[in-house]
Amino acid sequence: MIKRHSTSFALALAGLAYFVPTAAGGAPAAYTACTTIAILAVMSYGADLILSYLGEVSLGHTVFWAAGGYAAALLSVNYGWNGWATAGGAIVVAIIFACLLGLATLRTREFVFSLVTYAAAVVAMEIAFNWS
Amino acid sequence: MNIAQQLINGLVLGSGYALIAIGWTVLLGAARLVNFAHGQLYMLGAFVAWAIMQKLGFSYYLAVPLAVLTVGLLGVLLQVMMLPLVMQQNLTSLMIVTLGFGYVFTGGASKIFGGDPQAFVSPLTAASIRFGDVWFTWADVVTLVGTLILFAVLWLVLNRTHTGAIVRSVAEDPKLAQLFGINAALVYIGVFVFECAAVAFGAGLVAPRSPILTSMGFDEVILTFVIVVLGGIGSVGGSLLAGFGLGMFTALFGALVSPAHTTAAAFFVLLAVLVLRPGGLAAK
Repeated sequence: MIKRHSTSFALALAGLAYFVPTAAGGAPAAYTACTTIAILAVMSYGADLILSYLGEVSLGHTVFWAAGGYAAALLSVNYGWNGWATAGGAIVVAIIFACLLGLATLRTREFVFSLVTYAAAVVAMEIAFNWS
Repeated sequence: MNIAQQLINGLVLGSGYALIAIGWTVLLGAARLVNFAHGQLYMLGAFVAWAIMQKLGFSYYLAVPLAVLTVGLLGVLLQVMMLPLVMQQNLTSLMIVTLGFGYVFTGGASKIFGGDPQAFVSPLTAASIRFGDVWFTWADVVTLVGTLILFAVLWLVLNRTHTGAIVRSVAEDPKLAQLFGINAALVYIGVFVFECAAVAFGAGLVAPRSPILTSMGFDEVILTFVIVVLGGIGSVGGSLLAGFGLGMFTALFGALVSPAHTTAAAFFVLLAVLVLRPGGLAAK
């Protein structure tokens, strides 16, 4: 039954999730926890897309996470963009990074792909760390 | 810029890189396995040797072999824990499990050894040799010669001995090798222990060049990846050449552009090679 009505079931679950923080007491901590869960869920879904549809393990996920995070922070602080515009900007920046990285890494398969994407994540961390 | 000095630096850096990468090359080439905790094993090798010198008061020459032994034994433990995954050749799970081990090592080491940078001093580093305006240390000479000997012995063992033939047969087809009465599990453990011991040996020779931190290992693992991919997956000779090539590149890039971004630059070389020659430099 769940399988046949999976779309409506998922929508119902998503609707219910909206009330979870209130049901959990509505304290700021409850909202923070739920937001973190939502963020990590979206992030894992991204990684799962690559694993399930491409069959490769991407370890470079944090590159796009960081690209989006830095883009949002820089756009809102330095240029005063609003929430929606920074979200859009962050997505665009992450897509540009993904295109550039994908151009090189998608020529490889299996563990070489994982290895290169992992290297990308570490190098991105070093560049961000040494950024002045 | 002193060209001769930079070439020496490149040679020395390159031999260190090749030495750190050799375990991975064999693991990948002879056993079709991966270990993402490689950089953290390098860190452990350096810290175990440092702790033996500091706490037990042993000399450097005794501490390094003991660290190699300790990390090798840790390798047995790790491989026994992963054996079901190894026997299924489940690379996806192995990558994630070893990545997890790496983080456990970083956390565990900072708990045991503390978060401060430490000086892992080798008596070989202090003894320097000078020819005109070119200088290097005895540690550099030992690293270079040690690397060449290790590579030569490894190549001979893998290609010219019965043990090497057994290892290669397991790499080719573990199930078929088992039908011939070869204990594949034992071969996997042996290769993995070699990887762990080799990286600890590399740490013993290379780590004294700079202060050691429990958070280190990422640079080493990236350089290892670059060497393994550039040298052609699992090629012993290729990884030696790639190590020297990368060493030259790093020395010149560090001298001409920026020493802080050498790892990033090495990575961009890897990306460029992947775009131009997807099979690595050794591909035909």
